[in-house]
Amino acid sequence: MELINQITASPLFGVFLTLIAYIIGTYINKKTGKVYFNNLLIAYIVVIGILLIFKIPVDNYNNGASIITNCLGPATAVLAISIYNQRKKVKENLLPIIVGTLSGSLASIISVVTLSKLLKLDWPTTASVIPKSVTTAIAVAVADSLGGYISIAAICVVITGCTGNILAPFFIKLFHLTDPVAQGLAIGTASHALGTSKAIELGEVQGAFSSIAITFAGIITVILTLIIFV
Amino acid sequence: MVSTMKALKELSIIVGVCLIGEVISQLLPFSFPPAVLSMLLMLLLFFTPLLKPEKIESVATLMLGNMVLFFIPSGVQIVKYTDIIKDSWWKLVIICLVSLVITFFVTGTTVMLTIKLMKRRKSNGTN
Repeated sequence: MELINQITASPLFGVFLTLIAYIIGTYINKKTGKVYFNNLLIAYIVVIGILLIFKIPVDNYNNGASIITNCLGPATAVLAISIYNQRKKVKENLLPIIVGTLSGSLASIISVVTLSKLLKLDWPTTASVIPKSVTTAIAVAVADSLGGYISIAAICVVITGCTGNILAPFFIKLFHLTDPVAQGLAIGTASHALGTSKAIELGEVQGAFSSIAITFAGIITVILTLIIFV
Repeated sequence: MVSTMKALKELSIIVGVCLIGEVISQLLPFSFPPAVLSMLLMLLLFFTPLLKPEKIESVATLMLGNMVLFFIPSGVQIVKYTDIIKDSWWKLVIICLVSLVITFFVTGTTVMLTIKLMKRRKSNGTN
């Protein structure tokens, strides 16, 4: 046991385990091609499974894993490239984009807070679910600034995204969203990047507007939570 | 194949912009996620002659394509909150799902309405 503790205390262990889990998750996801074999979800199971089986303290894992978490900021910042590349579509459809992502993000926040009150969740847990519809990088930041738990925020983002990905075609029919712009914006606003992979399958317009919605809904959610809760 | 030096230059630009974003976010009187601020700063720079997307493109593409990797550690921290998960995992799932349906419906419907109104105004304008 002491040996395991010594090995895993090295920062290299956390980096190694995270990389291996990512590779396994992505491999299974590509091989099966199924949404519910989501690579992030599989990676979580691999890492948590190994920590629990070998009784490795999570702090040992974090020695190295924090190096990877520190790259999250730069990885979020480069999302700017995808908005910049879509600038023509954004300019032409600015009004539907703003109205859609604003009302959708507001509906998301209000419904989460209302449901959390009904189910008697405490504030830190509620704060962790509030950004469930935005992309993980922004969700983690929002949950953190609202006093939530970033890990629960990350898990809620994955639950919402996977479900959105699977159910998006059904929702489109159910709500009679005939316009591809509306379909794309609804998918991106409600279920961020995981939903967007389904939007891309539905068509080029849907894919583009879904990715536009990720960044707009993300920024709007940051601003709304600042206005409402701070 | 991108040369190592080019990749390192790209990486240093990205990290540099994020560092400035972090400084700005600390100077702000309210707490705004530094990562999002860096993203807005980066976007702003693209519209100036100072920085063009091509200057960071290959490293940025690599990061965007493997974004999931960076989220693994933050989700793993959930093992610290087993008591919350044990008590309320079903509440979290219900809230996520119900709110997902509501968000999807509200976004889609308002966009449909906005597009319809815009088309009507346009055709009125030409008449």
